[in-house]
Amino acid sequence: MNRDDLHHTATLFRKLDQEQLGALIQVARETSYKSDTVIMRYGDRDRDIIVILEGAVSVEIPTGDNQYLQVARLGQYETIGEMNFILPLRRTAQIKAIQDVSCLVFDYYGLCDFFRKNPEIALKVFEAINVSMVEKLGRSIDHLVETSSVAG
Amino acid sequence: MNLFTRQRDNDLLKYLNNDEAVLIKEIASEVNLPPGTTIFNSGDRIHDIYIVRSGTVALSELSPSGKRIELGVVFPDELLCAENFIAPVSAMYTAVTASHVSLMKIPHKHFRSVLKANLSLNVKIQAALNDSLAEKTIRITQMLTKDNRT
Repeated sequence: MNRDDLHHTATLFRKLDQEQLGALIQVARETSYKSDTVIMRYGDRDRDIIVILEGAVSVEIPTGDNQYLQVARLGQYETIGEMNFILPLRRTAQIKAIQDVSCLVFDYYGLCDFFRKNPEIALKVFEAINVSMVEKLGRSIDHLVETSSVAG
Repeated sequence: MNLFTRQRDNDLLKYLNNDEAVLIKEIASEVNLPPGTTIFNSGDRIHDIYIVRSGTVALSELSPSGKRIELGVVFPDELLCAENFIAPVSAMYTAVTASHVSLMKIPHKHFRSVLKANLSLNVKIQAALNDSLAEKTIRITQMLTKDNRT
């Protein structure tokens, strides 16, 4: 793993300095998935956050009859699961590896415990999540306006 | 996330203790508006943050073809303009009062000063903003999913 790249490009870490990033990464475990493996299942209740180190995944929503529709593709240094980290929801999409994937998995309870003990790092991660969420909200509104306009 | 306990209904101040909430209330002002008032238009540059105290606010956006698309309603204790406080973006929608509305307006410069001087308070506010933005994004996504299925 190249920590310099992680620092500059991973959304979750973009406000952390190297020392803070090093401390936060100690909470994570590195794991890997073969292509075509389901990493997160739709409806699961876990609240872990995953940062992709290598490879790519498909974000898919169910369309019925065990079929899924790809709504996004995420790759290196992108983050999965921050919405469930914030709110106690079931997973709203299935995440499937479409290449061999290696990633950092931040256990929900471990991360909460870390943030309680490290408020300065918590602040920077929460700020980064907020910026990411604003970007996501803007894209969702644009998409809704576009589709509603076409539908109406 | 299970870091803080909700102390009050106000979505921005929900995790603050009484002493912390007073610091924010001291810099806030109240704005009362009749029904049908445009609070801001899509594309406006806004930096202050608002909390609806009473009444409701309707959000909408114009499509490129000029059709007005409804984006939902903001209820009491919910936030307006959180996204503009967080990031330097213009307003993503138009906000119009759907009834008599009372707003708590928090000027961004004073708010940032209070946040900068109080780490614990700042973490709790950022966590509250996390929650508010996640809920808003989910509402929009649900509208989007419904649109795609009908």
